[in-house]
Amino acid sequence: MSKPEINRLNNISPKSNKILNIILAVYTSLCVLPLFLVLAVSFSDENSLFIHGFSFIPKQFSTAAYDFIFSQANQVLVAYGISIFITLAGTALSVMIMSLYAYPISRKDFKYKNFFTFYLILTMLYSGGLVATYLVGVRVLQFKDNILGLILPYVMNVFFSNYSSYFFSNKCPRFIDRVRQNRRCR
Amino acid sequence: MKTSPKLDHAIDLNQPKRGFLHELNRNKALFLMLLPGALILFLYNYLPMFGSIVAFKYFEFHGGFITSLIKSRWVGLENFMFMFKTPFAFEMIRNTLLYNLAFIISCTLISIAFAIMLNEIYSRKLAKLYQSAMFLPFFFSWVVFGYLVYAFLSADKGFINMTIFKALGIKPIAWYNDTTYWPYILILVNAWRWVGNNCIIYLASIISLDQQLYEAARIDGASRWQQIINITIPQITPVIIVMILLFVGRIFNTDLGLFFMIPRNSMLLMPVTRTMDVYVYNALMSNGDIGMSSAGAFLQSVVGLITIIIANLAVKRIDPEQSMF
Repeated sequence: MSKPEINRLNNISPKSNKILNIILAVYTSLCVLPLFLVLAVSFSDENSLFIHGFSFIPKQFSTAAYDFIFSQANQVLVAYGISIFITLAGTALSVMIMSLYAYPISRKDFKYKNFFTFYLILTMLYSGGLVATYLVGVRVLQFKDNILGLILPYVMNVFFSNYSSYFFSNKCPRFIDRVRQNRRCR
Repeated sequence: MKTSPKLDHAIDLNQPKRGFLHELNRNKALFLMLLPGALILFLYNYLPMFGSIVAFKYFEFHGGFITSLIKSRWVGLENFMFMFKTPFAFEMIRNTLLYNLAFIISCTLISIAFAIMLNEIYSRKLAKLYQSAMFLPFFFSWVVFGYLVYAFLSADKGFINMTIFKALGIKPIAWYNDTTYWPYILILVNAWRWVGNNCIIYLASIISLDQQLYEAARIDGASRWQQIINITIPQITPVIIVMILLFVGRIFNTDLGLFFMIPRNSMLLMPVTRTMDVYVYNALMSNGDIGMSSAGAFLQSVVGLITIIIANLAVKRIDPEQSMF
C-alpha cells in the first residue's frame, strides 16, 4: 500500500523514522529470538547443555531429541490428529451454530429478540466459575476422556455471536427482508 | 388514509396479539435456528451457574452430581469464612487485583504506542514484517511460554545466568527461588504475549481513520506529533474504552496458565504468584477441597459481574454510545 503523494509532506522526519524503526526492530527481535534459542537448544547435545547452559549456538550438535520424538511418532501423530480434528470440527460447528443463533436475534420483528439476546449476554456477565463448570462437565455431562468435551463447551462464543448478529442487522442488504415479506415466508 | 409505517408489522395488524405458543408456531424456523445455540448455552453456561450454589453447601458425593448437590447440607457462608481465615486470603486478593491493574495499564499503553509507531514509519513492508513478528508469541500456548522463560531463567542452564551474567561478571541469580523479580517478569511475559494481538486491533482502527482530518491539520500547521495527540488518540478512544471494559470485567480472574506454567508452580514463589485462580485450582486439584475452591470461584464470578456493571455504567455516563448494554 503506497501512501498518496499529498501525505508524503505530512510524515515524520527521517530522523524519527530511523529511531522508530530501531525501537520496533529491537522489540520484534525480542519476540523472535527466543524461538531461535529453543531451536538451537533442540539441536544441542544433552551433556553439553549441563556444562555450558542454553546458548544460541549449539556447542555440540546432536539430533538425539528429534530421534526420540520420531521413535514415538505414533503418539505425536495422534496428538496432532486430535488438535487438527478439534480445530476443524469445532470451527465448522461453531460458525454454523453461532450464525444460526445470531440471525433470529438480529431480526427486529422477532418478538423474543430481546429475551434471547439477554440469554446470550448473561453468560458473559456471570459464569459458574471453574469448580462448578468442572463438576457439571465431568459429573453431569460425563465429558471426562471424551473428545466432545474439547469441542462443545467452546462452540458458543458470545462476542462472535453478537458480532455476526450486528452484521446481519446492519450490513445485510435490507431488500432480502422485503423479498422475504413479499413472498410471505418467515 | 393511515398505513403501517413499517412493513415489518404489516402482518401483525390483521391479527390480534397472542401468546408464546402462537409466536412459536408462526416463527418455527427462527426458533429452530435458536435451538442448538440455546441448548449449548444452557448446558455449558447455565447449568454451572446453578451448580455454583455448591459454594454454600458442605459438598459430599452421593452418586451423581445433582443428587449429591441436593442432598448435601447447607452451611451458609461457612466456606467463605473458612477461605478468608486462611493466611493467603489477603495475599491472593492483593495479587489478583494488582496484577490485573498492571496488565491493563502496561498492555494498553505499549500496544497503542506500537500501533502508532507502526502507522508512522515510512516503509509499509517493514511495518508488515514487524507486525507479523510481534504477533508470533500470541500463537504459543502457556506451556511453550513456560519452557521459553525457563530456557532464559533456569539457575544452572539458563541463557541469562550462563551467558549474559557470566560475560558481565555478575553472580548468577536463582530466579525460581527469589520472589523479588517475579512481579516484573510476569508483567513482561504477559505483555510479550498480548501486545502483538492488541496492537493489531488498535492499528486496524488507526488505519481506517479519515485521512482528511490529517490533511486539514497539516494545512493548519500541526506537526505530526500534534496530529497524533489531537487526532489519532481521540479518534481511537472508543476502541480503547471497549478493550479496557472487556478487561475490567475479568479483574478478579487471572490467566491460570500465566501464573501456573511460567513460575513452574514453584512453592517458593507462591507469595507473589498466588492469585484467585491459582488458589482455586490448587484447592480443587491437590486438596480436593470442593467447598473452599467453589467459594473462591463464586466470589470471582460475583465480583466480575459487579465490576463489569459498574464499568459499563461509568462508560454510559461518559459516552452513552460506547457502553455495551
